[in-house]
Amino acid sequence: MALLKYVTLSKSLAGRRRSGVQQAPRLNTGARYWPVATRYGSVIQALPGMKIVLIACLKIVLPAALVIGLLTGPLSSQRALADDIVEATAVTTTPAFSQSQANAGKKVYKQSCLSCHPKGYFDQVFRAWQGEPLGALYGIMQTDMPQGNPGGLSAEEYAQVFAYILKEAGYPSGTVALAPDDVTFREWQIHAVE
Amino acid sequence: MSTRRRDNGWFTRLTQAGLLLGMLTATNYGWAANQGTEAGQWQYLGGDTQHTRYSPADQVDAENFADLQEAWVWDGASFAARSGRSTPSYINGILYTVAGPRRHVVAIDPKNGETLWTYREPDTPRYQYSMRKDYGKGVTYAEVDGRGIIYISSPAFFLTALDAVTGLPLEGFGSQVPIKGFPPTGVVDLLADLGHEYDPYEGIKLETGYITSSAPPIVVNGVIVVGNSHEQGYNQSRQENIPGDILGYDARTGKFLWKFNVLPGPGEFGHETWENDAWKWTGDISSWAPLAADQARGIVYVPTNGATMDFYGGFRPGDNLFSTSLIALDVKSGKRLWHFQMVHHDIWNYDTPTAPILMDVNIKGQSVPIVAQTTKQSFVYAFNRVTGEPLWPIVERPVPVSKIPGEQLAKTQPFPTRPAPFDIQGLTEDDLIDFTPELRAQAIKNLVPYDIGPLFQPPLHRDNDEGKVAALWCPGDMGGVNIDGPSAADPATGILYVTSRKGCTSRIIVPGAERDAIIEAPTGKTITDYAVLRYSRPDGPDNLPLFKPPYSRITAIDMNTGEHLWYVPVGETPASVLNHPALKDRQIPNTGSGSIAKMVVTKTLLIYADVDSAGAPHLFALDKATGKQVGKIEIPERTNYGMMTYLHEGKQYLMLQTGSTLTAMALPE
Repeated sequence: MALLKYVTLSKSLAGRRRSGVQQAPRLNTGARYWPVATRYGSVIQALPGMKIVLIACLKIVLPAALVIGLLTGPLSSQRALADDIVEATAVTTTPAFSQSQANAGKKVYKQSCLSCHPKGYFDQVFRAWQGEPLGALYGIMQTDMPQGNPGGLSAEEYAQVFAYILKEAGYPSGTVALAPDDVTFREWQIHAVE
Repeated sequence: MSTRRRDNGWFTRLTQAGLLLGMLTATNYGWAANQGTEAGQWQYLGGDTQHTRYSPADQVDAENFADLQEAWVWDGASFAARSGRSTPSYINGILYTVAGPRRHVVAIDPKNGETLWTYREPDTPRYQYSMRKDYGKGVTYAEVDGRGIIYISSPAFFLTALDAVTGLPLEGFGSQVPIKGFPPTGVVDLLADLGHEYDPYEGIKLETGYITSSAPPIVVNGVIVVGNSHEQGYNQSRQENIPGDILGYDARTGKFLWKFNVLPGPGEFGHETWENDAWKWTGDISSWAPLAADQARGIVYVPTNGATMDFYGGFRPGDNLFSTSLIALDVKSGKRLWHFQMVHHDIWNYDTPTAPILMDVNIKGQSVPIVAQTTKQSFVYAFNRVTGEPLWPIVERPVPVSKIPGEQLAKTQPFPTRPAPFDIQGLTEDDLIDFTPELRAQAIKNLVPYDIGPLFQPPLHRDNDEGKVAALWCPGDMGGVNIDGPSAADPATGILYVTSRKGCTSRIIVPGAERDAIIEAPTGKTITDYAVLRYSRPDGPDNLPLFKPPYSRITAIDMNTGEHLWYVPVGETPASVLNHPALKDRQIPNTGSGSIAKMVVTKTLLIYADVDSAGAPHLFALDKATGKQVGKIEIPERTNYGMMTYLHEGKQYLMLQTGSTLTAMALPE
């Protein structure tokens, strides 16, 4: 089994327009959502009891792997850390993007995206895109956004803002920049697990 | 009524009396009288209330265009300004605009970008839940008893009147809003006149509906006409909402004068276009694009949005007047003079994205006052703006039926016979990329999972009998004309300049409950049978665009004849196309960047902002008669919305709306 990503989003469910006005009862139940990215066709999709497996990985395997990884020597990046984890536990990496890319993306996001897509909106997005490859979501963003001027950002800016969205969704950054044209990136698959 | 109050500072100002005096005595220079903006002014976000985006300024021309340089930058970062849609007005030597989500009203020195005064509305929950906070677009101006007044409508849906010189709220206007921090005068609570239960602090309950503002009001002959905005129709999953009725107020006192019902009730014109009782509980039909006006005739022109909601309308059978329409109202009475519905029972998100343009043209020897509405459908709908009679026949033609259970589309839609469409309509294999046979073949293959067809191809639900992923329709709601690229015109020649994008749309349509489950706090109560879940999209072959170029264009249309004069691609071929390995050694014509242009028209030039092949922001200058490029300069930042130009103390400035900043360009001293 290859678990590639888990992350909670419950902390970012603050509403796109609800602040101080009205809480959404449905989302205040304490439920936690875990968008998970796997490689296309990976075993995890076919496994029953995926949630249990994920929780087990979350609580036991990964911490153990982190300890093992940290004990095995200095690591240059989270990507490298994750790569080591793969060897030790069969847990592989997440989509790569750099912190500086995400930081730059935050500026683009504020200018071009925020008015329609406050941070909490991306919880909706990831859940609506369950089972779809990241590359498809990226492609839509690149061709249909921002509203009013779709396709109006540079390729670099689209990559930056997507890195920021991934970061906001809880994915860890590393030192390797997001490369939207890379086949590996495009094939990451989105899963939301409640 | 809520008793909660917040203590907010409501007014800050910085008065520079000497400077203001200097600006108020600014000389006019280098201008010719014309139908558009005059004497260096740019009074409304479209130049004037005719929205031509034309200025007779002639200081910047083809000869000196390359000499333009940055004159000053106004930084709106401290106002959290982001969208760049706020267009300054230049009135009597001062620039006015709104900034950021709080929609601060800002007065700016046009010579150096210094802030003169600001006004901020107090914070309220009804402000907080606005979905259109940073989209104020600008201000409107009128003179009351010889005194200049600035008006804005806010995200929280208040109307405010401020003295243009001091920024102080207008005395004797409106009444005290019962929320701490509001000034004792100068503000009208617009929710009070809509006729729905509301709380002054909290606003309207979401289960009833939702309303906000994303464009300034317009003042015509002493009457303030206020449009409105709703939540984006593609973010909805429930059928209840309130209609975006148009409101009229006295410009001196703020007294409520009239309301025009955009969703007609029993006994009102158009009520029969609501074939069940949806008129009782659904809504939207907002006028979120700016309004236009014929000041001399006292007519205001209102472009409208669709009804609740995008992509599915099975709960509201009928044509649904006055959704996706152009409405002409008598400004004194608020009565409808005429209207034209451009899309019956709109479920395509073909909402009208920009203000209509007013000009006087010459048709077969007769001077005709016209209004022209450019749209996402890539049509120009053109009318005699007094009578509402189409300039050229608009005919009803059969269109496809919907395969979504419960959806009853109109059997026909209106098709203007002239001018010709200015961009793609419908989709066939001939529209696909044809740089090489292999790329064309791949594009055809990529389209197989999609249900394609002519203009008005309807959305298709998931799990359909066709075995398709979704429908793909062209233009889509991201195609044709859109928000950030308002059309422009030269009233001296009657030529309309339209910027458009070749964009199609595909959406995954699912049972409404599926979408409703992931919306945090939906508007309304009753979940619809179907709703949009998310985007879908066929890939282009080898990461190239799916379609033939141009990916975006500017089209010049002679509104005296309805003939297209020329078109040019916007900007330059993207590097991803220019340097693509599959196109090595091939001569690729300029494809256009795929972005829509941000345009302004002057006496001698059509100037627009976009990017070059490297993605670097540039200003381009075109010969208005031929479309030939006569100038190109790099600019510091990308421009996000239609530009403006003004003449201050004898110097012409071009204003770039560069996100959080305003960048003024001018010729060197």
